[in-house]
Amino acid sequence: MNLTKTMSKETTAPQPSQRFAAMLQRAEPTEEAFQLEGIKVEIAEQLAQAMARQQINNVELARRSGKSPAYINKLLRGGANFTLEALVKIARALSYQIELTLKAAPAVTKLPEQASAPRTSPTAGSDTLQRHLAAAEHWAAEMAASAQTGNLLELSNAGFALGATLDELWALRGEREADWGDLLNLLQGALAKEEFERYSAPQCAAIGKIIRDHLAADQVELDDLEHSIGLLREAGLDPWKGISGNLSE
Amino acid sequence: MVKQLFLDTSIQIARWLREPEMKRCINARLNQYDATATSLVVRQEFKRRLLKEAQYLLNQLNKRGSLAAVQRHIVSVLPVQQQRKRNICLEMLATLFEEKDETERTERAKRYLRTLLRVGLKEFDNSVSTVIQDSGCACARLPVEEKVSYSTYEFGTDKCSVTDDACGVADFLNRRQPEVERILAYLNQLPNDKKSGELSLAQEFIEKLQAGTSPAAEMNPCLTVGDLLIALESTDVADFYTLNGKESQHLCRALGQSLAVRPKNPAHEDVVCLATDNAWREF
Repeated sequence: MNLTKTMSKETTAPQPSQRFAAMLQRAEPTEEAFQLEGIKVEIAEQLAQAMARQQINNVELARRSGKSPAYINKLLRGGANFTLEALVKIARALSYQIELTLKAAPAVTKLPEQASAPRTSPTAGSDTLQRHLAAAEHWAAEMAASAQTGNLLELSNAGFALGATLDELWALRGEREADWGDLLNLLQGALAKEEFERYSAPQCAAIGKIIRDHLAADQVELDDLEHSIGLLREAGLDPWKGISGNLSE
Repeated sequence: MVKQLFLDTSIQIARWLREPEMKRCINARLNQYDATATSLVVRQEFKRRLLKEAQYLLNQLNKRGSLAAVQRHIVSVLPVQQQRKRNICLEMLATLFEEKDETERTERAKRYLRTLLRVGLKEFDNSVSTVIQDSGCACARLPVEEKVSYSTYEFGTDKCSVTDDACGVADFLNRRQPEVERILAYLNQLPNDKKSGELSLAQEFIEKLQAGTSPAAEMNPCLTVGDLLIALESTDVADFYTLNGKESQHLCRALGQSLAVRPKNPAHEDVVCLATDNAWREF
C-alpha cells in the first residue's frame, strides 16, 4: 500500500521544485525509505508554498505552531521525522488541515543502479554540513525579522550567530567543491567587521537568499558566485571587501 | 536629459580595491548622476592592470606558500618605479581575516583572487550603466579563461597588432578625426614642462598616424596610448571622473569636458573643474 496525503486547500499536488527534487535524490535506496523521503519532501514543499502565499517566514511559523525554529527549518528541508500531532499543529498554524489517503501501491521495479545509488549527492556534504546550512538560513531569517521590527539587539545577536555558523561551515569546506568554498569565503568577507545593527531588512534578505538559493545548492557553480555578488552589490554590501586596501590601518 | 558620468580606469579599479572610506566617496559622486559610463579601453586596462596582477599574486602565493612571504616579496622586490603595480598588489592582499592563522589567510587570498579572475570582467560590465563600445578594441573583448583552478588563467593578447582584423581602433580614430585634431592642437601649444610622458606619447602617436607612416594597430594603441583612446571614447559624456588629474586635465580641456578628480586621501573632497570655468587648478 502507498500512503499519500494532501492538504485540504490544495487541488493538485505541485511539481517538486528543483530544491526539493534535490532532497529526493538524497533518499535511501530502499522502497520504504524512498516513500518516506517522498512524503517528507512533499510535506515540506506544500508547507513552503503555503508559507510563501501567506508571506510568513520560518521563525513566524515556529512561533505560531509552538515549535522551535530549528525543527521548522529541518522540516522544510525534508529532514525531520515528524509526528502526526506535530504536523497537525503546524498545518493549523497555517489555517490548513491534513488529509491522508491510503492507496494501493503500484508495482515498482527497481533499477539496479538505484539500489547502488549513494545516500547523498557527492557534493552536498555531510549531515553536519547540512545542519549548519539550515542553521545559517535560520539566522539569516532571524536577522531579516529583527531588522523588519527594528529590534537591533536581536539583529546583532543573530548576525553574530550567523557569523559563527559560517565559521562552522568553513571548517567543513573540504567536503564540498571549490566553488562552494569560494562563495562561502566571499560571503564571510562581505559580512566581516560589519556592524550588524546597521543592516536593513533588504540587506538581511539578500544574505538569506544567497545562503538559501546558492550556498545551500547541491552543486555551487560560477553562476551562483555571479548571482551572489550581484545580490551583495545591489544590497549595498561590498563583495570585494576582502581584497580592499588599508583595512587594518 | 540624462546626467551621465564617465569613469576612467583609476576610478574603476578603486571601486574594487580601495578602502571603504574611498569607496564611499566615489559612490557619493556617482549618486549625483542618473547614469555612469565607461569604455572598452578602460575594460582592457582593468584586465591588464587589475586582473593580471591577480594572476601575478596567485603565482606568487603558489610559489611562496604564504601571504606574508608574498607581501614581503612585493615590498622588497618591486621597484619604486612600479609604484602603481606595488599599490595594486598590496591593496589586493589586504585581508579582513587578520585574526586567522597564516595558512587560512593564504587560502582565503587565493579564493578571492580566483573569484576576481573568473567574474571580474562580467562584474566590470555590471558596475556601470554603459560600456561604450565605439573604439572596437579587440583586446578588451577577449575573455579571461580559467585553465587550471587557482593557478593558470588566459587573458588573450594586449597587442592590437596581433588581433588580425578584429581591432577596430583605426576605424574609430578615423571617425573621431575632429577630436583627434583638437587634442593635437592642444598638445602642440602645451609647454614641454607641462607635458607628461603619456601626453608626449599621445602626441607622437597622432603625428605618426596623420603622417601615415604606421598603421594604428601596429602601434598597439590600447597598450601604449590608453589615455588618449579613453579620452576619445568619453567624448560624448560631459563629465569625466578620475583619480589622476595629470593627463585628464589637458585631455578634458581639449575636448570641452568637465573634470572631477578624486584625491587619493578619502578625507579630501573631489576637485571639480567645470568646462565653463576660465582657469583650472593644476594637477
